[in-house]
Amino acid sequence: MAALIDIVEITKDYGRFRALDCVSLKVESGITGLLGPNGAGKTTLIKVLLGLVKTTSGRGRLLNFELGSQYREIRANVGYMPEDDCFLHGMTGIECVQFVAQLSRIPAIEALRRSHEILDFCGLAQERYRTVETYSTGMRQKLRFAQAIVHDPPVLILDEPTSGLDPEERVIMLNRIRVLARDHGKAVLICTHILPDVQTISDSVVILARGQVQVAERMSELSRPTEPSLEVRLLGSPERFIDVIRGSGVPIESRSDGVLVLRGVPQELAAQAWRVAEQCGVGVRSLTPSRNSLEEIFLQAVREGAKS
Amino acid sequence: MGNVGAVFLFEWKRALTLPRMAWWALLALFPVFIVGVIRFTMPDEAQRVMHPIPPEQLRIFWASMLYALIPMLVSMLGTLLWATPAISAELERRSWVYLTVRPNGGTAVLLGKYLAAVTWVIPPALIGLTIAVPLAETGDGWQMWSTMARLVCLSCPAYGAIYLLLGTLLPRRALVLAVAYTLIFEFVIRIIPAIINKLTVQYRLQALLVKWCKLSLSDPGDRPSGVQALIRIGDEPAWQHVTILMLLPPVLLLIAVAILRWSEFSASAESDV
Repeated sequence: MAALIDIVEITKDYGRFRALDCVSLKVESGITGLLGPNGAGKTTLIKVLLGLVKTTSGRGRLLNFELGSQYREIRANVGYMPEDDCFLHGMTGIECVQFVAQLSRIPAIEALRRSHEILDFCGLAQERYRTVETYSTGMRQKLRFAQAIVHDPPVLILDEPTSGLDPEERVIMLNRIRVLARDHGKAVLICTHILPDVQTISDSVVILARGQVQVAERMSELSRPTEPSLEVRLLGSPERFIDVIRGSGVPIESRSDGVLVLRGVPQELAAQAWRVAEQCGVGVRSLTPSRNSLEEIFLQAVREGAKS
Repeated sequence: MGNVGAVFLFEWKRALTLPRMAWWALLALFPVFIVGVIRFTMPDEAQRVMHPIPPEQLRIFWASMLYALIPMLVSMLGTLLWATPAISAELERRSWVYLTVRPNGGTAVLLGKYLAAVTWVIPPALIGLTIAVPLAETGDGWQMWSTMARLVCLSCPAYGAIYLLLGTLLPRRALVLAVAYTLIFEFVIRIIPAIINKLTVQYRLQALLVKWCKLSLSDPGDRPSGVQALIRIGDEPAWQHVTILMLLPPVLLLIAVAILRWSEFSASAESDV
Protein backbone atom coordinates (compact mmCIF):
# COMPACT_ATOMS: atom_id res chain seq x y z
CA MET A 1 0.00 0.00 0.00
CA ALA A 2 1.37 3.45 -0.92
CA ALA A 3 2.14 5.67 2.04
CA LEU A 4 -0.24 8.59 2.47
CA ILE A 5 2.43 10.61 4.23
CA ASP A 6 6.09 9.88 3.89
CA ILE A 7 8.41 12.36 5.58
CA VAL A 8 12.12 12.00 6.13
CA GLU A 9 14.08 13.78 8.85
CA ILE A 10 11.98 16.91 8.93
CA THR A 11 13.14 19.60 11.32
CA LYS A 12 11.35 22.85 11.99
CA ASP A 13 12.77 25.64 14.15
CA TYR A 14 10.91 28.73 15.30
CA GLY A 15 13.89 30.91 16.12
CA ARG A 16 15.77 29.01 18.82
CA PHE A 17 12.85 26.72 19.60
CA ARG A 18 12.87 23.36 17.81
CA ALA A 19 9.26 22.36 17.18
CA LEU A 20 10.02 19.28 15.06
CA ASP A 21 13.27 17.42 15.56
CA CYS A 22 14.30 15.15 12.71
CA VAL A 23 10.86 13.61 12.30
CA SER A 24 10.64 10.64 9.98
CA LEU A 25 7.25 9.10 9.53
CA LYS A 26 5.23 6.91 7.20
CA VAL A 27 1.46 7.01 7.48
CA GLU A 28 -0.67 4.68 5.43
CA SER A 29 -4.28 5.24 4.40
CA GLY A 30 -7.09 4.58 6.85
CA ILE A 31 -7.65 6.50 10.05
CA THR A 32 -4.53 7.62 11.86
CA GLY A 33 -4.53 9.23 15.28
CA LEU A 34 -1.92 11.90 15.86
CA LEU A 35 -1.34 12.24 19.59
CA GLY A 36 0.95 14.21 21.79
CA PRO A 37 0.97 16.52 24.79
CA ASN A 38 0.69 20.30 24.34
CA GLY A 39 3.78 21.63 22.57
CA ALA A 40 4.67 18.24 21.11
CA GLY A 41 4.70 19.55 17.54
CA LYS A 42 1.38 18.20 16.26
CA THR A 43 0.12 21.51 14.90
CA THR A 44 3.51 22.29 13.37
CA LEU A 45 3.53 18.90 11.68
CA ILE A 46 0.08 19.60 10.21
CA LYS A 47 1.23 23.03 9.02
CA VAL A 48 4.30 21.48 7.42
CA LEU A 49 2.07 18.99 5.63
CA LEU A 50 -0.18 21.79 4.37
CA GLY A 51 2.72 24.02 3.33
CA LEU A 52 1.73 26.71 5.82
CA VAL A 53 5.22 26.76 7.31
CA LYS A 54 8.53 25.97 5.71
CA THR A 55 10.74 23.27 7.09
CA THR A 56 14.22 24.03 8.35
CA SER A 57 15.47 20.76 6.85
CA GLY A 58 14.19 17.43 5.61
CA ARG A 59 11.85 16.36 2.87
CA GLY A 60 8.63 14.52 2.44
CA ARG A 61 5.62 13.67 0.33
CA LEU A 62 1.89 13.70 0.87
CA LEU A 63 -0.16 11.71 -1.64
CA ASN A 64 2.94 11.62 -3.82
CA PHE A 65 3.15 15.40 -3.90
CA GLU A 66 6.40 16.92 -2.73
CA LEU A 67 6.08 18.92 0.48
CA GLY A 68 7.18 22.50 0.05
CA SER A 69 7.06 22.65 -3.74
CA GLN A 70 3.70 21.10 -4.63
CA TYR A 71 1.63 22.61 -1.85
CA ARG A 72 -1.04 23.80 -4.31
CA GLU A 73 -1.74 20.21 -5.32
CA ILE A 74 -1.56 19.13 -1.70
CA ARG A 75 -4.08 21.76 -0.60
CA ALA A 76 -6.42 20.80 -3.43
CA ASN A 77 -6.41 17.23 -2.14
CA VAL A 78 -6.57 17.84 1.58
CA GLY A 79 -9.48 18.92 3.73
CA TYR A 80 -8.32 20.64 6.90
CA MET A 81 -10.44 21.18 9.98
CA PRO A 82 -8.51 23.49 12.31
CA GLU A 83 -9.02 23.44 16.04
CA ASP A 84 -9.88 27.11 16.34
CA ASP A 85 -13.14 28.79 15.58
CA CYS A 86 -12.41 30.69 12.42
CA PHE A 87 -15.69 31.68 10.94
CA LEU A 88 -16.49 34.44 8.57
CA HIS A 89 -18.75 36.55 10.72
CA GLY A 90 -21.98 37.87 9.38
CA MET A 91 -22.46 34.88 7.10
CA THR A 92 -24.95 32.06 7.44
CA GLY A 93 -23.74 28.49 7.76
CA ILE A 94 -24.61 27.65 4.18
CA GLU A 95 -22.84 30.77 2.89
CA CYS A 96 -19.70 29.87 4.85
CA VAL A 97 -19.55 26.41 3.34
CA GLN A 98 -20.35 27.68 -0.14
CA PHE A 99 -17.65 30.34 0.15
CA VAL A 100 -14.89 27.88 1.06
CA ALA A 101 -16.10 25.55 -1.69
CA GLN A 102 -15.74 28.40 -4.16
CA LEU A 103 -12.27 29.10 -2.80
CA SER A 104 -11.54 25.51 -3.78
CA ARG A 105 -12.53 26.51 -7.32
CA ILE A 106 -15.93 24.89 -7.39
CA PRO A 107 -18.39 26.99 -9.47
CA ALA A 108 -20.95 28.93 -7.41
CA ILE A 109 -24.05 26.84 -8.20
CA GLU A 110 -22.25 23.52 -7.77
CA ALA A 111 -20.72 24.86 -4.55
CA LEU A 112 -24.19 25.67 -3.22
CA ARG A 113 -25.53 22.23 -4.14
CA ARG A 114 -22.60 20.49 -2.50
CA SER A 115 -22.85 22.67 0.57
CA HIS A 116 -26.45 21.62 1.14
CA GLU A 117 -25.52 17.98 0.61
CA ILE A 118 -22.60 18.17 3.06
CA LEU A 119 -24.61 20.04 5.68
CA ASP A 120 -27.26 17.33 5.46
CA PHE A 121 -24.53 14.75 6.05
CA CYS A 122 -23.19 16.78 8.99
CA GLY A 123 -26.61 17.13 10.59
CA LEU A 124 -27.06 20.88 10.27
CA ALA A 125 -30.70 21.26 9.31
CA GLN A 126 -32.49 24.63 9.36
CA GLU A 127 -29.63 26.09 11.41
CA ARG A 128 -27.70 26.45 8.18
CA TYR A 129 -29.72 29.59 7.44
CA ARG A 130 -28.66 31.26 10.70
CA THR A 131 -25.58 33.45 11.02
CA VAL A 132 -22.61 31.60 12.48
CA GLU A 133 -22.39 33.90 15.51
CA THR A 134 -25.58 32.31 16.84
CA TYR A 135 -24.23 28.74 16.62
CA SER A 136 -23.60 26.52 19.63
CA THR A 137 -20.24 24.76 20.05
CA GLY A 138 -21.63 21.57 18.54
CA MET A 139 -23.01 23.37 15.50
CA ARG A 140 -19.71 25.18 14.97
CA GLN A 141 -17.92 21.88 15.11
CA LYS A 142 -20.24 20.43 12.47
CA LEU A 143 -19.79 23.51 10.31
CA ARG A 144 -15.99 23.29 10.50
CA PHE A 145 -16.22 19.64 9.56
CA ALA A 146 -18.50 20.49 6.62
CA GLN A 147 -16.07 23.14 5.40
CA ALA A 148 -13.23 20.63 5.50
CA ILE A 149 -15.00 18.04 3.37
CA VAL A 150 -17.06 20.15 0.98
CA HIS A 151 -14.55 19.88 -1.88
CA ASP A 152 -14.45 16.08 -1.52
CA PRO A 153 -10.74 15.74 -0.75
CA PRO A 154 -9.16 12.27 -0.57
CA VAL A 155 -7.27 13.22 2.60
CA LEU A 156 -8.72 14.78 5.74
CA ILE A 157 -6.70 16.37 8.51
CA LEU A 158 -8.95 16.92 11.51
CA ASP A 159 -7.67 18.88 14.49
CA GLU A 160 -9.70 18.08 17.63
CA PRO A 161 -12.86 17.10 15.73
CA THR A 162 -14.77 16.03 18.84
CA SER A 163 -13.68 18.59 21.42
CA GLY A 164 -16.59 20.45 22.98
CA LEU A 165 -19.17 17.91 21.84
CA ASP A 166 -21.56 16.15 24.20
CA PRO A 167 -21.17 12.33 24.42
CA GLU A 168 -23.96 11.62 21.94
CA GLU A 169 -22.71 14.14 19.39
CA ARG A 170 -19.19 12.79 19.89
CA VAL A 171 -20.27 9.31 18.92
CA ILE A 172 -22.14 10.68 15.90
CA MET A 173 -19.10 12.68 14.80
CA LEU A 174 -16.84 9.64 15.13
CA ASN A 175 -19.33 7.65 13.05
CA ARG A 176 -19.25 10.30 10.34
CA ILE A 177 -15.46 10.08 10.24
CA ARG A 178 -15.67 6.30 10.15
CA VAL A 179 -18.18 6.43 7.27
CA LEU A 180 -15.91 8.74 5.29
CA ALA A 181 -12.92 6.46 5.84
CA ARG A 182 -14.58 3.09 5.37
CA ASP A 183 -17.29 3.82 2.78
CA HIS A 184 -15.73 6.69 0.85
CA GLY A 185 -12.08 5.66 1.04
CA LYS A 186 -10.85 8.86 2.66
CA ALA A 187 -7.54 8.85 4.48
CA VAL A 188 -8.00 10.61 7.80
CA LEU A 189 -5.42 12.07 10.17
CA ILE A 190 -7.00 12.93 13.51
CA CYS A 191 -5.16 15.14 15.93
CA THR A 192 -6.78 14.99 19.36
CA HIS A 193 -6.29 14.82 23.11
CA ILE A 194 -9.27 12.53 23.59
CA LEU A 195 -7.54 9.15 23.65
CA PRO A 196 -10.68 6.95 23.71
CA ASP A 197 -11.72 8.54 20.39
CA VAL A 198 -8.46 7.47 18.81
CA GLN A 199 -8.69 4.00 20.34
CA THR A 200 -12.25 3.66 19.03
CA ILE A 201 -11.74 4.56 15.39
CA SER A 202 -8.06 4.66 14.49
CA ASP A 203 -6.26 2.04 12.46
CA SER A 204 -2.87 3.38 13.49
CA VAL A 205 -1.41 5.83 15.95
CA VAL A 206 1.44 8.32 15.90
CA ILE A 207 2.58 9.80 19.20
CA LEU A 208 4.76 12.89 19.16
CA ALA A 209 6.58 14.23 22.19
CA ARG A 210 9.05 17.10 22.25
CA GLY A 211 9.06 17.28 18.48
CA GLN A 212 10.02 13.66 18.02
CA VAL A 213 8.06 10.60 16.97
CA GLN A 214 7.85 8.31 19.98
CA VAL A 215 5.36 5.78 18.62
CA ALA A 216 4.15 5.05 15.09
CA GLU A 217 2.34 1.75 15.03
CA ARG A 218 -0.86 0.05 13.96
CA MET A 219 -3.54 0.14 16.64
CA SER A 220 -3.91 -3.65 16.64
CA GLU A 221 -0.19 -4.07 17.38
CA LEU A 222 -0.18 -1.41 20.06
CA SER A 223 -3.21 -2.83 21.85
CA ARG A 224 -1.77 -6.33 22.03
CA PRO A 225 -0.47 -6.90 25.59
CA THR A 226 3.08 -8.14 26.15
CA GLU A 227 1.66 -11.08 28.12
CA PRO A 228 -1.61 -12.61 26.84
CA SER A 229 -4.44 -12.47 29.35
CA LEU A 230 -8.19 -12.45 29.72
CA GLU A 231 -10.29 -9.84 31.51
CA VAL A 232 -13.38 -11.14 33.31
CA ARG A 233 -16.18 -9.12 34.88
CA LEU A 234 -18.50 -11.07 37.15
CA LEU A 235 -21.99 -10.60 38.55
CA GLY A 236 -21.85 -11.64 42.18
CA SER A 237 -19.10 -12.33 44.72
CA PRO A 238 -15.80 -13.32 43.01
CA GLU A 239 -13.95 -14.87 45.99
CA ARG A 240 -14.84 -18.50 45.25
CA PHE A 241 -14.21 -18.00 41.53
CA ILE A 242 -10.73 -16.62 42.28
CA ASP A 243 -9.92 -19.57 44.59
CA VAL A 244 -11.01 -22.20 42.04
CA ILE A 245 -9.10 -20.56 39.19
CA ARG A 246 -6.00 -20.13 41.34
CA GLY A 247 -6.35 -23.78 42.43
CA SER A 248 -6.23 -24.89 38.80
CA GLY A 249 -2.81 -23.22 38.44
CA VAL A 250 -3.87 -20.17 36.41
CA PRO A 251 -2.38 -16.88 37.72
CA ILE A 252 -5.21 -14.45 38.54
CA GLU A 253 -5.29 -10.94 39.94
CA SER A 254 -8.12 -8.69 40.97
CA ARG A 255 -7.90 -5.07 39.83
CA SER A 256 -9.32 -2.17 41.80
CA ASP A 257 -12.05 -1.63 39.18
CA GLY A 258 -13.41 -5.14 39.90
CA VAL A 259 -11.96 -6.72 36.77
CA LEU A 260 -10.27 -10.11 37.19
CA VAL A 261 -7.20 -10.66 35.00
CA LEU A 262 -6.38 -14.28 34.14
CA ARG A 263 -2.89 -14.81 32.69
CA GLY A 264 -2.70 -17.20 29.77
CA VAL A 265 -4.01 -17.74 26.25
CA PRO A 266 -7.44 -16.02 26.17
CA GLN A 267 -9.08 -18.62 23.91
CA GLU A 268 -8.20 -21.47 26.29
CA LEU A 269 -9.04 -19.52 29.43
CA ALA A 270 -12.47 -18.42 28.20
CA ALA A 271 -13.97 -21.94 28.32
CA GLN A 272 -12.49 -22.55 31.74
CA ALA A 273 -13.81 -19.23 33.07
CA TRP A 274 -17.36 -20.03 31.87
CA ARG A 275 -17.17 -23.46 33.48
CA VAL A 276 -15.86 -22.16 36.83
CA ALA A 277 -18.37 -19.33 36.91
CA GLU A 278 -21.23 -21.81 36.46
CA GLN A 279 -19.73 -24.06 39.13
CA CYS A 280 -19.45 -21.10 41.56
CA GLY A 281 -22.93 -19.78 40.81
CA VAL A 282 -21.80 -16.37 39.52
CA GLY A 283 -22.77 -14.72 36.28
CA VAL A 284 -20.28 -13.53 33.67
CA ARG A 285 -20.86 -9.91 32.69
CA SER A 286 -18.03 -9.73 30.18
CA LEU A 287 -15.09 -11.75 29.03
CA THR A 288 -12.53 -10.05 26.76
CA PRO A 289 -8.90 -10.56 25.80
CA SER A 290 -6.75 -7.91 27.52
CA ARG A 291 -5.63 -4.91 25.46
CA ASN A 292 -3.02 -2.34 26.30
CA SER A 293 -4.70 0.91 27.15
CA LEU A 294 -3.81 3.77 24.84
CA GLU A 295 -3.55 6.00 27.88
CA GLU A 296 -0.73 3.88 29.28
CA ILE A 297 1.03 3.78 25.92
CA PHE A 298 0.64 7.53 25.59
CA LEU A 299 1.97 8.28 29.07
CA GLN A 300 4.90 5.94 28.56
CA ALA A 301 5.74 7.59 25.22
CA VAL A 302 5.56 11.05 26.76
CA ARG A 303 7.81 9.95 29.65
CA GLU A 304 10.33 8.51 27.21
CA GLY A 305 10.17 11.72 25.19
CA ALA A 306 10.90 13.75 28.32
CA LYS A 307 13.91 11.53 29.17
CA SER A 308 15.42 11.91 25.71
CA MET B 1 -9.56 33.71 -11.13
CA GLY B 2 -12.77 32.04 -9.94
CA ASN B 3 -11.75 32.09 -6.32
CA VAL B 4 -10.63 35.74 -6.59
CA GLY B 5 -14.16 36.51 -7.79
CA ALA B 6 -15.63 34.60 -4.86
CA VAL B 7 -13.54 36.62 -2.38
CA PHE B 8 -14.43 39.84 -4.18
CA LEU B 9 -18.17 39.13 -4.00
CA PHE B 10 -17.89 37.97 -0.42
CA GLU B 11 -16.03 41.13 0.60
CA TRP B 12 -18.65 43.28 -1.07
CA LYS B 13 -21.40 41.39 0.71
CA ARG B 14 -19.56 41.88 3.98
CA ALA B 15 -19.26 45.60 3.18
CA LEU B 16 -23.02 46.01 3.03
CA THR B 17 -23.40 46.52 6.75
CA LEU B 18 -24.59 49.65 8.50
CA PRO B 19 -21.20 50.74 9.91
CA ARG B 20 -19.46 50.25 6.59
CA MET B 21 -22.23 52.02 4.68
CA ALA B 22 -21.92 54.89 7.16
CA TRP B 23 -18.21 55.12 6.34
CA TRP B 24 -19.08 55.00 2.68
CA ALA B 25 -21.56 57.88 3.07
CA LEU B 26 -19.03 59.83 5.14
CA LEU B 27 -16.38 59.48 2.45
CA ALA B 28 -18.86 60.68 -0.20
CA LEU B 29 -20.27 63.57 1.80
CA PHE B 30 -17.21 64.92 3.59
CA PRO B 31 -15.77 66.70 0.49
CA VAL B 32 -19.23 68.02 -0.33
CA PHE B 33 -19.52 69.40 3.18
CA ILE B 34 -16.11 71.12 3.04
CA VAL B 35 -16.74 72.55 -0.42
CA GLY B 36 -20.18 73.75 0.74
CA VAL B 37 -18.71 75.46 3.79
CA ILE B 38 -16.03 77.21 1.70
CA ARG B 39 -18.50 78.16 -1.00
CA PHE B 40 -20.97 79.73 1.38
CA THR B 41 -18.36 81.55 3.46
CA MET B 42 -16.71 83.09 0.44
CA PRO B 43 -17.18 86.84 -0.20
CA ASP B 44 -20.54 87.53 -1.85
CA GLU B 45 -20.98 89.15 -5.26
CA ALA B 46 -20.97 92.70 -3.88
CA GLN B 47 -17.73 92.18 -1.96
CA ARG B 48 -16.13 90.47 -4.94
CA VAL B 49 -16.82 93.54 -7.05
CA MET B 50 -14.96 95.60 -4.47
CA HIS B 51 -12.06 93.12 -4.15
CA PRO B 52 -11.98 91.05 -7.33
CA ILE B 53 -10.22 87.64 -7.26
CA PRO B 54 -8.45 86.78 -10.51
CA PRO B 55 -10.38 83.92 -12.23
CA GLU B 56 -7.20 81.84 -12.70
CA GLN B 57 -6.44 82.11 -8.97
CA LEU B 58 -9.97 80.93 -8.22
CA ARG B 59 -9.58 77.99 -10.62
CA ILE B 60 -6.31 76.98 -9.04
CA PHE B 61 -7.83 77.26 -5.61
CA TRP B 62 -10.82 75.03 -6.48
CA ALA B 63 -8.71 72.55 -8.42
CA SER B 64 -6.30 72.23 -5.48
CA MET B 65 -9.13 72.00 -2.99
CA LEU B 66 -11.06 69.36 -4.93
CA TYR B 67 -7.86 67.44 -5.56
CA ALA B 68 -6.90 67.52 -1.88
CA LEU B 69 -10.35 66.38 -0.81
CA ILE B 70 -11.12 63.67 -3.34
CA PRO B 71 -8.27 62.03 -5.29
CA MET B 72 -6.04 62.60 -2.28
CA LEU B 73 -8.01 62.38 0.97
CA VAL B 74 -10.93 60.12 -0.01
CA SER B 75 -8.79 57.78 -2.11
CA MET B 76 -6.02 57.54 0.46
CA LEU B 77 -8.27 57.20 3.48
CA GLY B 78 -10.65 54.76 1.82
CA THR B 79 -7.98 52.42 0.51
CA LEU B 80 -5.96 52.74 3.72
CA LEU B 81 -8.96 51.60 5.73
CA TRP B 82 -9.96 48.69 3.50
CA ALA B 83 -6.80 47.45 1.80
CA THR B 84 -4.28 47.71 4.65
CA PRO B 85 -5.92 45.21 7.04
CA ALA B 86 -6.47 42.59 4.31
CA ILE B 87 -4.31 40.03 6.09
CA SER B 88 -4.25 41.36 9.64
CA ALA B 89 -8.06 41.23 9.89
CA GLU B 90 -8.09 37.55 8.94
CA LEU B 91 -5.19 36.81 11.29
CA GLU B 92 -7.08 38.47 14.14
CA ARG B 93 -10.21 36.46 13.36
CA ARG B 94 -7.96 33.39 13.09
CA SER B 95 -9.57 32.63 9.74
CA TRP B 96 -6.35 33.12 7.76
CA VAL B 97 -5.28 29.49 8.06
CA TYR B 98 -8.71 28.39 6.97
CA LEU B 99 -8.61 30.50 3.84
CA THR B 100 -5.01 29.73 2.91
CA VAL B 101 -5.36 25.96 3.05
CA ARG B 102 -7.38 26.18 -0.15
CA PRO B 103 -5.39 25.99 -3.40
CA ASN B 104 -4.08 29.53 -4.00
CA GLY B 105 -6.33 30.64 -1.16
CA GLY B 106 -3.93 33.28 0.13
CA THR B 107 -3.48 34.86 -3.29
CA ALA B 108 -7.23 34.79 -3.91
CA VAL B 109 -7.90 36.50 -0.59
CA LEU B 110 -5.28 39.14 -1.28
CA LEU B 111 -6.42 39.96 -4.82
CA GLY B 112 -10.13 39.65 -4.02
CA LYS B 113 -9.78 42.04 -1.11
CA TYR B 114 -7.74 44.44 -3.22
CA LEU B 115 -10.40 44.57 -5.93
CA ALA B 116 -13.13 44.97 -3.33
CA ALA B 117 -11.25 47.81 -1.62
CA VAL B 118 -10.65 49.68 -4.88
CA THR B 119 -14.21 49.28 -6.15
CA TRP B 120 -15.52 50.20 -2.71
CA VAL B 121 -13.66 53.54 -2.63
CA ILE B 122 -14.13 54.76 -6.21
CA PRO B 123 -17.96 55.16 -6.07
CA PRO B 124 -18.11 57.46 -3.00
CA ALA B 125 -15.24 59.49 -4.47
CA LEU B 126 -17.13 59.93 -7.74
CA ILE B 127 -20.41 60.68 -5.98
CA GLY B 128 -18.72 63.28 -3.80
CA LEU B 129 -17.07 64.76 -6.86
CA THR B 130 -20.33 64.88 -8.83
CA ILE B 131 -21.99 66.90 -6.06
CA ALA B 132 -18.97 69.01 -5.10
CA VAL B 133 -17.98 70.27 -8.56
CA PRO B 134 -21.28 72.05 -9.37
CA LEU B 135 -21.36 73.34 -5.80
CA ALA B 136 -17.94 74.92 -6.23
CA GLU B 137 -19.01 76.78 -9.41
CA THR B 138 -15.56 76.58 -10.90
CA GLY B 139 -16.72 77.72 -14.30
CA ASP B 140 -15.18 74.73 -16.10
CA GLY B 141 -17.23 72.05 -14.39
CA TRP B 142 -16.89 69.27 -16.93
CA GLN B 143 -13.12 69.63 -17.29
CA MET B 144 -12.72 69.73 -13.52
CA TRP B 145 -14.98 66.71 -13.03
CA SER B 146 -13.35 64.61 -15.74
CA THR B 147 -9.85 65.45 -14.48
CA MET B 148 -10.68 64.58 -10.90
CA ALA B 149 -12.53 61.43 -11.95
CA ARG B 150 -9.50 60.23 -13.91
CA LEU B 151 -7.23 61.03 -10.98
CA VAL B 152 -9.53 59.06 -8.66
CA CYS B 153 -9.41 56.09 -11.03
CA LEU B 154 -5.61 56.25 -11.02
CA SER B 155 -5.04 56.99 -7.34
CA CYS B 156 -7.36 54.36 -5.82
CA PRO B 157 -5.71 51.34 -7.50
CA ALA B 158 -2.23 52.76 -6.81
CA TYR B 159 -2.82 53.50 -3.14
CA GLY B 160 -4.79 50.26 -2.71
CA ALA B 161 -1.78 48.29 -3.98
CA ILE B 162 0.68 50.26 -1.82
CA TYR B 163 -1.36 49.73 1.36
CA LEU B 164 -1.97 46.09 0.54
CA LEU B 165 1.76 45.57 0.12
CA LEU B 166 2.46 47.30 3.43
CA GLY B 167 -0.21 45.13 5.06
CA THR B 168 1.49 42.05 3.65
CA LEU B 169 4.95 43.15 4.73
CA LEU B 170 4.00 43.76 8.32
CA PRO B 171 0.49 42.49 9.06
CA ARG B 172 0.77 42.99 12.82
CA ARG B 173 1.49 46.71 12.46
CA ALA B 174 -0.15 47.29 9.09
CA LEU B 175 -2.18 50.40 9.92
CA VAL B 176 0.69 52.09 11.76
CA LEU B 177 3.00 51.39 8.85
CA ALA B 178 0.45 52.67 6.32
CA VAL B 179 -0.16 55.89 8.23
CA ALA B 180 3.58 56.41 8.68
CA TYR B 181 4.16 55.81 4.97
CA THR B 182 1.42 58.29 4.04
CA LEU B 183 2.62 61.04 6.34
CA ILE B 184 6.34 60.64 5.73
CA PHE B 185 6.46 59.61 2.12
CA GLU B 186 3.39 61.05 0.43
CA PHE B 187 3.23 64.30 2.40
CA VAL B 188 6.74 65.17 3.60
CA ILE B 189 9.00 63.65 0.95
CA ARG B 190 6.59 64.79 -1.76
CA ILE B 191 7.34 68.44 -1.02
CA ILE B 192 11.12 68.01 -0.76
CA PRO B 193 12.60 69.53 -3.92
CA ALA B 194 14.76 66.50 -4.73
CA ILE B 195 14.59 63.59 -7.11
CA ILE B 196 13.24 61.32 -4.36
CA ASN B 197 9.87 63.03 -4.57
CA LYS B 198 9.40 61.45 -7.98
CA LEU B 199 8.95 58.14 -6.20
CA THR B 200 5.71 59.30 -4.62
CA VAL B 201 2.27 58.76 -6.10
CA GLN B 202 1.41 62.34 -5.20
CA TYR B 203 4.10 63.64 -7.55
CA ARG B 204 2.48 61.84 -10.48
CA LEU B 205 -1.07 62.78 -9.55
CA GLN B 206 -0.27 66.43 -8.98
CA ALA B 207 1.60 66.62 -12.26
CA LEU B 208 -1.45 65.19 -14.02
CA LEU B 209 -3.71 67.63 -12.18
CA VAL B 210 -1.68 70.58 -13.42
CA LYS B 211 -1.50 69.24 -16.96
CA TRP B 212 -5.10 68.10 -17.36
CA CYS B 213 -6.59 71.17 -15.67
CA LYS B 214 -4.13 73.39 -17.57
CA LEU B 215 -3.24 75.23 -14.38
CA SER B 216 -0.75 78.07 -14.54
CA LEU B 217 1.25 77.77 -11.34
CA SER B 218 3.14 81.06 -11.39
CA ASP B 219 1.93 84.48 -10.38
CA PRO B 220 2.45 87.29 -12.86
CA GLY B 221 5.57 88.15 -10.88
CA ASP B 222 6.82 84.51 -11.04
CA ARG B 223 6.41 84.22 -7.28
CA PRO B 224 4.62 81.02 -6.39
CA SER B 225 2.67 81.14 -3.15
CA GLY B 226 0.47 79.01 -0.90
CA VAL B 227 -0.76 75.75 -2.44
CA GLN B 228 1.11 76.54 -5.62
CA ALA B 229 4.41 76.41 -3.78
CA LEU B 230 3.68 72.87 -2.66
CA ILE B 231 2.98 71.60 -6.15
CA ARG B 232 6.29 70.81 -7.78
CA ILE B 233 6.07 69.08 -11.10
CA GLY B 234 8.68 67.98 -13.58
CA ASP B 235 8.75 68.05 -17.34
CA GLU B 236 7.56 64.51 -17.94
CA PRO B 237 4.66 64.11 -20.37
CA ALA B 238 1.25 63.09 -19.00
CA TRP B 239 1.37 59.66 -20.66
CA GLN B 240 4.47 58.83 -18.66
CA HIS B 241 2.75 59.59 -15.36
CA VAL B 242 -0.32 57.62 -16.41
CA THR B 243 1.78 54.64 -17.48
CA ILE B 244 3.69 54.61 -14.22
CA LEU B 245 0.48 54.88 -12.18
CA MET B 246 -1.13 52.08 -14.19
CA LEU B 247 1.90 49.80 -13.90
CA LEU B 248 2.30 50.40 -10.20
CA PRO B 249 -0.65 48.24 -8.97
CA PRO B 250 0.22 45.03 -10.89
CA VAL B 251 3.89 45.30 -9.91
CA LEU B 252 3.11 45.91 -6.24
CA LEU B 253 0.49 43.17 -6.21
CA LEU B 254 2.98 40.71 -7.67
CA ILE B 255 5.45 41.63 -4.94
CA ALA B 256 2.71 41.23 -2.31
CA VAL B 257 1.80 37.79 -3.64
CA ALA B 258 5.46 36.76 -3.67
CA ILE B 259 5.89 37.93 -0.06
CA LEU B 260 2.75 36.07 0.89
CA ARG B 261 4.13 32.84 -0.52
CA TRP B 262 7.37 33.22 1.39
CA SER B 263 5.82 34.25 4.65
CA GLU B 264 4.57 32.11 7.50
CA PHE B 265 1.77 34.24 8.86
CA SER B 266 -0.01 31.28 10.34
CA ALA B 267 2.93 30.53 12.60
CA SER B 268 3.09 33.97 14.07
CA ALA B 269 -0.67 34.11 14.39
CA GLU B 270 -0.88 31.24 16.79
CA SER B 271 0.98 30.44 19.90
CA ASP B 272 0.50 26.71 19.62
CA VAL B 273 3.13 24.33 18.33
